[in-house]
Amino acid sequence: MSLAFLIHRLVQLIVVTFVIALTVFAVLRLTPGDPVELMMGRDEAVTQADIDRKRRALGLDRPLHVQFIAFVGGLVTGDLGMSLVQQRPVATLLRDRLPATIELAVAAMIVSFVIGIPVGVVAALKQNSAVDRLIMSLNFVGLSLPSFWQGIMLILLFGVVLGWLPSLGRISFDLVPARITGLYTVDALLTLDGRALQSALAHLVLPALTAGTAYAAIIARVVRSSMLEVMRQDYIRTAWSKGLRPRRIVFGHALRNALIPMITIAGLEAGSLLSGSVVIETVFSWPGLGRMVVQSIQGRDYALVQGAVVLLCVLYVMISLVVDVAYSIVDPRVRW
Amino acid sequence: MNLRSSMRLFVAATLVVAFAAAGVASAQEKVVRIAMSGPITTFDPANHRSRINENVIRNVFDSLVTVTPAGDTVLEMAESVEQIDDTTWEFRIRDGIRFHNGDPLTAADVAFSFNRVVVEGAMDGQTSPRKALMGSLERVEEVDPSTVRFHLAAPESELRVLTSAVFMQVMPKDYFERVGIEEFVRNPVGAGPFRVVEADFQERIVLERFDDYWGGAPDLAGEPGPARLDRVVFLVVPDASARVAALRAGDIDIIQDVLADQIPVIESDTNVVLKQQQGTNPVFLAFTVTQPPFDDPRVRRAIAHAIDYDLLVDALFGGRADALYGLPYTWNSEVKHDGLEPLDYDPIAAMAMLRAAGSSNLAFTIDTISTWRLVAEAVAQMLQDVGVDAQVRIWDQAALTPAVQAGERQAMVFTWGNASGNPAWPQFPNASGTGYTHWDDAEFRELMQRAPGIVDRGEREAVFRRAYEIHHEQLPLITLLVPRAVEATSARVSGFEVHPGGRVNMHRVDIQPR
Repeated sequence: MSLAFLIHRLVQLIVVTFVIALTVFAVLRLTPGDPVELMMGRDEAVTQADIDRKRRALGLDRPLHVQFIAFVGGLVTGDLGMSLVQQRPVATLLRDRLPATIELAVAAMIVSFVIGIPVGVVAALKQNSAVDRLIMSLNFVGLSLPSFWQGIMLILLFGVVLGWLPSLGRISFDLVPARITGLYTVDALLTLDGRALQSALAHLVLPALTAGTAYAAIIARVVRSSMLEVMRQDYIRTAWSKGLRPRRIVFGHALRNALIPMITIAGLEAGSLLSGSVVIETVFSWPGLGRMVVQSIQGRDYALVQGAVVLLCVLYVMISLVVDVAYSIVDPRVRW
Repeated sequence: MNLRSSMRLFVAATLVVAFAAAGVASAQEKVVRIAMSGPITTFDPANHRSRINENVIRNVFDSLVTVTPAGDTVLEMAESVEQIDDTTWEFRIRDGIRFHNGDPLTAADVAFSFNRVVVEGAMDGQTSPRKALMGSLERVEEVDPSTVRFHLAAPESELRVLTSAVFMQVMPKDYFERVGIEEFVRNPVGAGPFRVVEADFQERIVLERFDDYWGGAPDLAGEPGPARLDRVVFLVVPDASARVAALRAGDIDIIQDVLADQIPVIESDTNVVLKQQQGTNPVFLAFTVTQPPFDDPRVRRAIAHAIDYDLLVDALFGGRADALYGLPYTWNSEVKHDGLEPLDYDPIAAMAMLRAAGSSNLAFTIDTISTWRLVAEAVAQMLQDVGVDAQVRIWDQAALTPAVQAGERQAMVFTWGNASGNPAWPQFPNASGTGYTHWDDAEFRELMQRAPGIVDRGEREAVFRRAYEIHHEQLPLITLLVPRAVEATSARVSGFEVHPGGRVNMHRVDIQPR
């Protein structure tokens, strides 16, 4: 990987972040609804002078270009400002929420890969059989199920009827482990807190299953078609003619190459999951970024929305970089 | 052993240790978990107007006066109240009340807390959003360590004065002044039955029993004394279906705002108990009366007769709401008026009235927020049945409210709470101009401004009744119904009562072990 490539991506990151910052800044201010009036309510006790005073205190009385320059200046120094509604630094709020989102995203990705890859391989190896048709039908169901419905059904089955798994939150309130990374499963492991680990894992199962299912369906489809293509290649035919064991052909030769497109899928999935799934976070009361962003949009919390969108933008660009690098590692023909 | 094998062994060993430890049960604590539909925003009792905040804050801070689940106003930390003259009321504070930090609660704390609300700009230059709830209370004076005087700008009824005292809780003056507002919100100190031990506003609030609690209002049901529960946990559960599922799964013990379509499921589950109480949030259809054709009271009245109030209650709320038939008062109003005729559903008359008003081809849009979508759509359908082309538009509240206040919408379905039963309900526009209708009737305005200050009860009520009559004739807004407060608890929970104003009072709640 060349230095020029890295510099190119860094410049790209800066440009994209600036454009996104300008867009979100402008869109927020063009949207009807005034944060100060929302904050203070509208009744006889609140005078225009109170509203003006609050607006001044929050810096919202300044001309828009001054506010934008202050916002961008803050970005450069890592200061995302204060949340207008919660009156806490935006960076702190994002830092508090990001681990929940990462934990769920990673768990959902594991679920989607663990289900999607084997299912896709089996469907490819049994192409056009009853098994293949059954898998592809279930796959269609998995893609079509609305996640809020699936989530509620899983809660009803595993939470209400069977009573096996908790239905909401990240962890039992009295078991929160000491914060090291903010990822409860990791922190529980690092502090060897078994009850916290058990609780965190149990709380993770249903949301991860809900978030992961749709991606599992996509992955299964991609793996199936990719496997079918690879299995027709000359080198696989050669492997068969050499008399290699089927297991070795499938897993040692075919699957490795068939999984290359998975890098793109994984990148897209990671980007989407990290931006927070509002529906899943709402159904499972999962305190992640997505719900916080929606709440802050409803409350016209300019600073928090801007900070969150910029963070997500940076995460997307970073994931895209990781995908490019991963390609160059697994496929020697790709050079940057 | 290679690196990969070592890693596998480490993870396996860690998991074994972890799950073995998980089997050790903690001591059985009495904990009740309550689902909140959204996050709280503050612990400052003076700086909010939200019932979600109120639910948490009222378990941490106590007031001089409180309201029972039956709607009666009773003394809490106040021992007695006495009228000194037309505009001065004296409260004596009970002895032996302490804050969570051990400081005794005195008249200085009471005066400080109330003056923070009623004095303009008393909160770091900002005026408390609760000032409007304080009637004409102008200032509170500390007379001696156990006595305060409420000085009013104009005479008010005893009930209004007591109601003002309900709406603010007492904060510790010394602690607040020493630590400042930011630290106070991080580590709040009150004199309520529970103290805050953990607060993540977006996720959960954990409260712990305050063992030196003074005991609570004697007129509330149950035994006074410290709370029965060791801890109370408020959890943010935004989705209504998820709240019901969590209650049934045993992950939550109390839920509020149960929707009508969830009631059959709850009633079929023997592990949970459904509770209800008359509500205090009237839902209404308001018109912008400065815009034709709604500047004509005949059109507004015709629309009122096109609405089947009983059908709204039965079809949308499963009977768990009370129809208002356009009447300008609710069950808990301090002043009622038996002489006013409820507006009955009469579509034939409605069509005739529209024809008479020259509005046979009326077409308009009802704007609302998603919460009231079904009510608005049902009303629109009823209007279509009498030939009115009524459509519904759903908005984000942040966008809708300013447009309504600017008079840019034609009609809206919305709600406005009146837990205190104040006959001067803020949606009745007086000089403040807070109503959504832009209706400005000189006589009504004068009556509404004058009535609260009339000392003689009979005369005061007569003035309010006359104002009601004008409103009922003019109908700038049509009150539709009041949804009941429907809540559900685990069958293990006892002592929990649904409060008409939505207050969650955990002081005398208990829970059976599993």
